Amino acid sequence: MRSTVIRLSILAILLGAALFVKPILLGNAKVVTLQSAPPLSATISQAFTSSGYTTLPVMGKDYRLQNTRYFENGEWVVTVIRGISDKVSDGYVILKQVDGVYLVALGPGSILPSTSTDNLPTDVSQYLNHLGATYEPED
Amino acid sequence: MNPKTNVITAGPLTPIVAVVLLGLTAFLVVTSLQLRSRTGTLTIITPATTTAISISQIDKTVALAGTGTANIRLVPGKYQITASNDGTRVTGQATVSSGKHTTLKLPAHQKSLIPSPDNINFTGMETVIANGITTDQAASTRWLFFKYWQNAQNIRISPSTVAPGPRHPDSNDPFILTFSGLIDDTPYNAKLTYTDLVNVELTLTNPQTGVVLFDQATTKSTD
Repeated sequence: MRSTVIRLSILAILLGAALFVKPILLGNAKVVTLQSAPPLSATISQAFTSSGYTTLPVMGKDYRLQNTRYFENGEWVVTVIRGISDKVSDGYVILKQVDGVYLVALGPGSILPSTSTDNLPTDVSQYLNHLGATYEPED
Repeated sequence: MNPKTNVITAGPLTPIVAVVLLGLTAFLVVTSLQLRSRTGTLTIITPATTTAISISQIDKTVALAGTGTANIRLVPGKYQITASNDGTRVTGQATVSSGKHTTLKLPAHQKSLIPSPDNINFTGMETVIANGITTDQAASTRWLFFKYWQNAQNIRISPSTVAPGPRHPDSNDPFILTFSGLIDDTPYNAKLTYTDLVNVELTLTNPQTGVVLFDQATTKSTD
């Protein structure tokens, strides 16, 4: 009987070690691995970050990009988002390159108030007007 | 005592199970140590516990890292982090190195990437307001400074230089305020001219040469 208890205790210790050794050695940090993805997709998907999502929209699965145009030597990008799944609606997004990385400057939004695009470079705001992406808010 | 109840306790399988568990533990130790040596940890701290945090890299997918605070293990590289709460989005960057721990503390708010007067840190405007302009005119003045130098980080008005210009009290002449200061590290002289409580005309000159650098007025409705 006693040897049985000892044997079971050893098994319990080994089982515990097997279960907890990894989180302990990795400092309880969740291991995150990122896969390859098309340019701009991560930045745009990241713009959908909100507490409401358990997973973020994926380009090619939840949305696609259309009419992507670069301005001012690539400093600014305007692109149209076309929703494929229910997760994403059609809209526009404006990105700006900062320290070699594109960040979302405005959007995503289905339509943008002209007051928010007034201070963009002229060719960027003209392209947004051409796309019909802006509206004049009432005073 | 029923001898059948002893069957489930410690039969001949016990050594086999022990060896399997020992092997599994050894495997997990080795793989965890390998993973630990070729990755680093990143702790992301945001001001609110409800803030959703995501992480990505150039030309990589994006992953949700957690809410409020995230403690994640990543392969070395430069990462873009986005934190979003109540429609406010803040971004940051962090570089992860093998075997090292990095902490990134994100602010609650961030300057807009689109040029805006709100992105410029104005100092000394309160002295100009104390010398007679309204808060609307102060906002117009900020706007005109921004129109002149959109990428300015700091615009300083030297309080000791703020002075009203000459004007006869019974005349219809416009009011004038003059001052000088620095736009980032560049000195300027300014003249504010106004006739109502909303609009201003801002004239900027080079203090060394006297050359007019900018002269523009706002034309807002005074209703």
